[in-house]
This record gives sequence, structure tokens and C-alpha cells, in this order.
Amino acid sequence: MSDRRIRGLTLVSLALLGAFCFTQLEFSSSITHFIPSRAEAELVQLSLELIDSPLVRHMVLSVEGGPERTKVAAELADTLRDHPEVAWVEAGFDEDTLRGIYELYFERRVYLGSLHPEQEIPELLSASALEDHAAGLRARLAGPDAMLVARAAPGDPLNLFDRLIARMRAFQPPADDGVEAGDFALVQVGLRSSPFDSERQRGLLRHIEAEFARIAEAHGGEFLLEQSGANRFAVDAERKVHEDVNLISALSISVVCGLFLLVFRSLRHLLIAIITPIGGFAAALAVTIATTPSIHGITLAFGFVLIGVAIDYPIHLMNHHAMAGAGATPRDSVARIRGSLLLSGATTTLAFLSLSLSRFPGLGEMGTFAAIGVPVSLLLTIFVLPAFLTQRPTATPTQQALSAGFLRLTELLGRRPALLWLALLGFIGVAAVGMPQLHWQDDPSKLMTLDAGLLAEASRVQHRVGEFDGSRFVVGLAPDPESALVLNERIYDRLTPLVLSGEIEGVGSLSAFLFSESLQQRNLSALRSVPDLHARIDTAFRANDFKQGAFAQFTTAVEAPGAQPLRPEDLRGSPLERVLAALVELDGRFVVVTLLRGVGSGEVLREALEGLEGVYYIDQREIMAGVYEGYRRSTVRMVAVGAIVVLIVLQIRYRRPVRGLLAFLPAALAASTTLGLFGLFDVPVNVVNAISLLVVLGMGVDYGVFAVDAAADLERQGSTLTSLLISCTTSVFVFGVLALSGQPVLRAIGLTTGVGVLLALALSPLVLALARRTSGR
Amino acid sequence: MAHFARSGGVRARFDETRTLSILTVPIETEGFLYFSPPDRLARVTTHPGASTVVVHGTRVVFEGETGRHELDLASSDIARGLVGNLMVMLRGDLAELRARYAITYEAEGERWQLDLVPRSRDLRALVELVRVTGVGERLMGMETRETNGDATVTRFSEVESGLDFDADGSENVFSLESAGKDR
Repeated sequence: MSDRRIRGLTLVSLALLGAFCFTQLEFSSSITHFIPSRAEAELVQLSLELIDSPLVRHMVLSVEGGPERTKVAAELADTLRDHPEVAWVEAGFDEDTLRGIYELYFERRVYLGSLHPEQEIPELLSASALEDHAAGLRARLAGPDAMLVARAAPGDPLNLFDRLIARMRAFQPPADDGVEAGDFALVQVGLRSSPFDSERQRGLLRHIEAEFARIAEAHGGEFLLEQSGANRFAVDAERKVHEDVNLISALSISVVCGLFLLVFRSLRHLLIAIITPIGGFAAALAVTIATTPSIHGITLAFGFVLIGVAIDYPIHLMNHHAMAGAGATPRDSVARIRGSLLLSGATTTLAFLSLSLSRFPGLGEMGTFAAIGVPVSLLLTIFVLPAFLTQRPTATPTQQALSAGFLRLTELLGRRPALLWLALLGFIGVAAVGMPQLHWQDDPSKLMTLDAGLLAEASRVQHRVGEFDGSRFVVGLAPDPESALVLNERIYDRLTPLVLSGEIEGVGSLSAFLFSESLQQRNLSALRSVPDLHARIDTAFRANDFKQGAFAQFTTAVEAPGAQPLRPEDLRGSPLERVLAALVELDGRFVVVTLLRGVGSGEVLREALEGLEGVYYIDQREIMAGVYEGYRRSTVRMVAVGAIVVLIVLQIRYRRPVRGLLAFLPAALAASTTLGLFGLFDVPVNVVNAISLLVVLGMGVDYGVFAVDAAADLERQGSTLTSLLISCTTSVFVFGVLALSGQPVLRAIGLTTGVGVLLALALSPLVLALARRTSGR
Repeated sequence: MAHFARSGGVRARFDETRTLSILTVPIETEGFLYFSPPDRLARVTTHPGASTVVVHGTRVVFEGETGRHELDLASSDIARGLVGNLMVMLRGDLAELRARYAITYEAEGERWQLDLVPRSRDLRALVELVRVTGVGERLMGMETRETNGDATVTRFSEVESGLDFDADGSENVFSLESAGKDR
């Protein structure tokens, strides 16, 4: 095939790939992307499932301002009810909510009086308690709400319905001390989609802002809306990832352009060289788009790293071709370094393939992306790039000066071996002293940055509503809803003493809204077991001026309740539907969740729950930190295995142990010295740093292979080290820019790979000098 | 209504008789009523027990032997109708009164009678009629007849108007924070 045809075919293919990617690209920014896969122990799996369960699918909106804030909040709530992403809206116990609760619960009051009916119902019906009820009711009939009290009293002399309402109110704890509840009007919003689905959540958040602005304007405008919800962080993270992607890509391309202009004095060379990484990037992107529903923004940003990695191959080829002098065709130049290119490409791909096996979906996606992009770039360099290169190569003065300078450096190192050994000992020393001081950080929340302003706003709003702890709760597992509710009541019994003793601040239990059917029947039985119920009530109340038979409605309801016991499905479509989020079906089992506030010690909770089968205290942070620590350890082992595989590949290629070891030296020493520096400078290291070492390993081996291969050929030594310098500068600047990202994941990758690759470059002349000594040149 | 609109702050003694179908005897209460235009009202009950209801705009705080309760009138038509109607009348807001009630006015000499039938369906389910009576510029009483036959009759005496509670230092009576204390 002619060069012209190859060029045309390449450009058309790239255009088609680009068009496919542009039209099919779907972004994601879910934090769950950086949580290990779900094939873990039961507790971990439960914890992961609950991260994206209906429990976290909600927002709290707080309206502050003039006396009409309640109206503003109520109107905002009304407009939100019609939004397709809104599952439910609750604006306090307003009239509609109270009416809904009344219709659902009043007829069932005889089932829902007490969590301990055998003990409490007889107490409620003792002569003295009834006397107190009668006196209390008489006093309330003199109060301002007498009209409503008088209507409900004949059917509920024991205040069973009021007890129910009190339990419900206690579920949502009062605002923290110092917060005046009346200063804010609060709206709770349930979400249909995952809060991490930033595409859908962005639309909802915009709708909320726009509707609030419109309603506030209609009421005079002096109102402040503050919000809390995981969806706000997801949308904000996605926006920041977009910004990072734009910044990183712009800076990467600028630095690479500047380098090419400096070294090759030609923009044509840049355009030719950029075909390779763009081809690799487009191919990897197309495969990812075709095989996954969406690509994470961080993977895309990481994909730009390919520009730094994959551009190494055209740089080597173009630099060697330029230094080859007149008469050498581009394919001659390829043939000269093909072995080194293939070996370095293969080892880099192997390193990234290890990354693709990670159990973190996000990191796995990055690894796969790079493991596709790197070999595609390599193949483009070998088979396509020669068609774009000039037939009459000439080296620029910069290339000649750099090449001559490197030659002098390797000769100096050859003449003064003490310098060489001293430098190597320096690397080993830093690694040996620094690595034991490494500080591993396994908290997964540190992998994502949350906006400080949004956090402060969320915290203010949560204080107003008295929000529960979002990451610590108690779960009970049962085969069916009724068993789950029974278990839930036992959990509540165990936790109540902890609240009373101050070990925890509060408990949010589903039992405030829904009893198990067996407990409901026990309540009814307890009322029915009083043989003289009617007479007993009549006697006590008549002594307080109530008419005889005034409470016949109640005794009739005990004999023949007006409704069946309350079941979970009765709550669906009611104003209290949201409480069903605490009863989740997972893989055929039912999980009932008890929310907690102000947990001091997890141990106390575990002790309190001891002996309850299928009940676990879950501290998501603690669990995830444990999981990440395990992954970090296994990743370090994976890096070691990857290194051994690369070393074996090198030994097979060189068939001489010393040369194989020398080719491996930049990778091994760069990786260990990088960790040593992190230890010495107290840079916290996490699982992402550990995985990034694979990149250092892959690129370090590239440098080692080129250095060792050049040792046997004096003409290649200067140009090889020049190529390595250009490649390394490109990579360091690209990775360096990555370290400026606001996302800790990208920062960790950038810092580790940037420092590691720079160290690998520094080691390359030493390796070349050592290889020359071993080959006698 | 024009007189109420220009009468400023009002203080009055009240005694109330509440006749309920579940009780053998009516409930008698006594106390004082305070109104500071346009939107502050306090009802301080002194007998049979001490209790206070303070209305400030749409916020209502009730404090009595059963504890302290807060309510936002904006969230409830019924509460607005029950609590707010007296305030609307005392500030002479005829337009608001007409919006809430169908009004019938009758007069015979100095005596006059205002019958209010709630427009809100929710409130009409509870209240059949509110009848306000007076002589000349003086408010004499208010009767609330409920749909279930219960009725509350309130009589006002020692009515003082044209008061400025902020100026005479007794504005504390309307404090939401100290409802029920130091009155």
C-alpha cells in the first residue's frame, strides 16, 4: 500500500472513530465507581447496597427569610411534586399530611398503642391512669384547641392517636440546640433516581433553583434557600471533573506543542506525532463507549495521560530518524528500533493490564482504557507513522546539542564509576530510609473532594432538621417483611436503653410508623383482655363531668376495629410513604434499617445487639476503610507480581541476567525511591498511589529497555537519551498537570507517576553507562 | 369595621362558656385578651388553669399545663380560620373577613350582630356559624356554633382600645419566647 493511501486511510479512520465517540459519549461521576466490586462479604455488600438505596435518595430544602417563608416553602413543595425525578415531598406536618395520617391511623389506633402492650395497656387502664386521662382531657377542653380535641375524644379517651403522633414526631429529631425551629421552613424531597445520577440530578437542582427564584420573587424576594443532599455533591463533582478534564487536556497539549517546537522546530512533526496518541485515545474511548453504559469523567481525564505515554513512541522514531541522517528511509529507522519499541510497548501494556484487573471498577476502567490505547499507539507508530515522515531526515541544532551532551555524560559516568555508584546508592538510600516511614491512608472518602461551601451548607441544613448519621446504622436481615418488622422491634428494644443512658443521641426506627402484625394483634388483645373496659372508662370519666357512655365509640372500636392491621403496602401512596425506605428488599431478603444519631462508640452498640441473629451494626466508613486497606495490600502484591512478570519478560528477551536486570533497574528503583520520597516528605499514600506505581513500572522498563539496547550501539546512545528526555519531559508535564487536579484520585496518580517517571529518566544514563561497562564499550 | 380599623391596641377581659356534648356541665374560662395591630394577639387564660396563646403573624405559640406547642397558621386553613378570625376583625380588615366568611349584618338601634359562615369547606365541616355582637363601637361577644351541636360563647368586658403596648412597656405580653410567663 502506498504512503498516500495509508495517510488517507488513517485520517478517515480517525475521523470516523472521533464521530462515533462524540455522538455516543455518556459521562458518569458516581462515587460508587471508586468502591470495590460487590462480590464481598455480607456486611460489605449490605453497606454498598445501602450507599445507593432509597435511604440516601433524599434532599432537605430550607427556606429562610420573612414571615411568608412557610408559604414560599409550601409553594416550592407543590411545584416539586410534579417533577418526574421527585418521588415524594414533605413540607412538615401540614394539613394534608395530618389528614392523610389521620385517615391511615385513627381507625387503627387500637392496634398501635404500645410497643409493649402486655405491660403498658393494663397500666393505661388502671384506675389512677384513667383518672389522670379524664382530668387531662377535661383541661384540654378548656384550651384553644378544644374544638378538635372534643371531636376526637369520644373515640380515643386513652390518647392512643396522640401517642402515635408523638412517636412519629420523635422519629424526626428536633433541631439542634441554638437553632430556632421557627426561623426556617423545611421541605424534604425524595428522589426517584440515584443521587449519583448527576445527569438527572442536574436537571432537578436547576428546577429547584429556578422555581425558588420565581416563588421568592412573587413573595417579595427576601428569602434564602439552602439545601442538603448527596445529589448536590455528585453534580458538583461532575462539574469539577469536567473543568479538570478541560484544564488537563489544554495544558497537556500546550506543553507537548511547546516541546515539539523547541526540539523539532516544526509544527508538522507535532501534527504527525499527535496522530499516534490520538489514535490510541480514540480507539480506547470507542471500545469503552461500546462496552459500558457510560465512561467516568476521571477515566477520561486519565485517558489524556495516554498523550504523555503514547507520544513516547513517535518521539523515539522521529528523533532516531532525524539523527539517522540522509539516506535513511523512515522504515529503515523503524527497523532499527522496532525491537526496543515492541518490548517497551509490551511491558507498558502488561503493567496497565494489571491495573485493568483491579476490583475498583473505576481503576479497572482506567487500566483497560490504557491497555487498549498503548498497543494501538504502538502499532500506529510502527505501521502508519513512517508514511507521514520525510524521506530526507535532518537533525535540528537542539537535537544535535542534546545528543552530544548526553554522549559526554555517559562517557563521564564511564570514566568515573564512583559517581555512578554514588548516584545509585543515593536512590537506594532514599528508598531504604523513606519506605519504612510511609503513611498509608485507607479512608475511601479521601479519594473524592467535597466542596467546602456545599458541605457547610449541608451541615447547616442538617442541624435544622436534626438529620441522622448518614454512614452509621443498624440493619436487620429477615426472609419476609413481617419477620423484618418483628426483628426491628427487638432492635429498638435493645437500643432504647442506650438513648436513655446517653450512649447515643437518638434512634430513628420504622417502629414509630409501623408495627409488625403480631405486635398489632397483641395490642388489640391487651385491650380486649380487660373485661370491664367500658365500665372502667365510664367510671373514671364520669367523675370528671363526662357523660355516661360518652366513650362508647372507643369500646366499639376495640370489639370491632374499623380497619385491618397496618401493613407496609398501606403506607404506599400515603404522606408517610418515605418511611418505607427503611424496609428494603435486597436479593430476596428484607433489610430493615434503624437510623442513628450521635453514636459515641460502635463497640457499645455491638454489645447491645449481641445475640440478635441477622442484626448488624454498620459503620460504612469503618467497613470501607477495612476493605480499602485489604485492597491496598493486595494491590501492592499485584505491583510486585507485575514487576516479576516484567522481569521474566526482560530475562527472556535479553537472555543475559545482568542485561535483563539493568533494563529492569530504572523501573524498580524509580518505584521504590518514589515511595521513599513520599515517606520522607510525609505524603499520605493510598491504594491509588499503589496502583499508579504500575505506570511507573511500565514506563521505567521502557527507559531501561531503550538504555540497554542503545549501549551496544554508540550512534544510538545520544539520540536514545535525547528521546528519553523528550518523552520524560512530556510525561512529567502531563502527569504534573494531573497532580494539579482537584480530585485526589487524579492528584495521587499524577504525583506518583510524575515523580516516578522523572526518577526513571535520571536512572537511564546510569543504566546506559553500566550496560556499556558490561558490554565492554 | 371602620371603628375597629382605627381603634389601635385593644385589651379586654373575657369570660367564656363552652357547652360540649360529651360533658354534663359547661366549661367556664376567664382571662384577658390583648391585640396589637396589625397581627399580634394574646389570649391569657387565668381560670380554671393558667394558659396563654400568642399569635404573631402566622406563628402561634400555645403554652399551658400540657406544655408548649407551636403552630404555623400558613400550613393550615382550619387553624387560620379558628385562630385568625378574631384578629382579622379586630384590625377591621373587611376584605379579608369577606374572603374567609359569608357575612350577614343586622342592627337594631345601637346593638348590632355579625353572622359569619366559613367559606372554607374544611372549616365549614367543623363550624356552622360565628356570631359577633356589639353595642355601638364596643365589642360585646362572640359565639361559635359547631356542626356537632357544641357551642362556645365568649363575652367581653372592660374593653380598652387605642392602646400602644410598645410604648407603655407591656409588649412582653406578645412575646413568643416567654409565652405563659410573667403575665
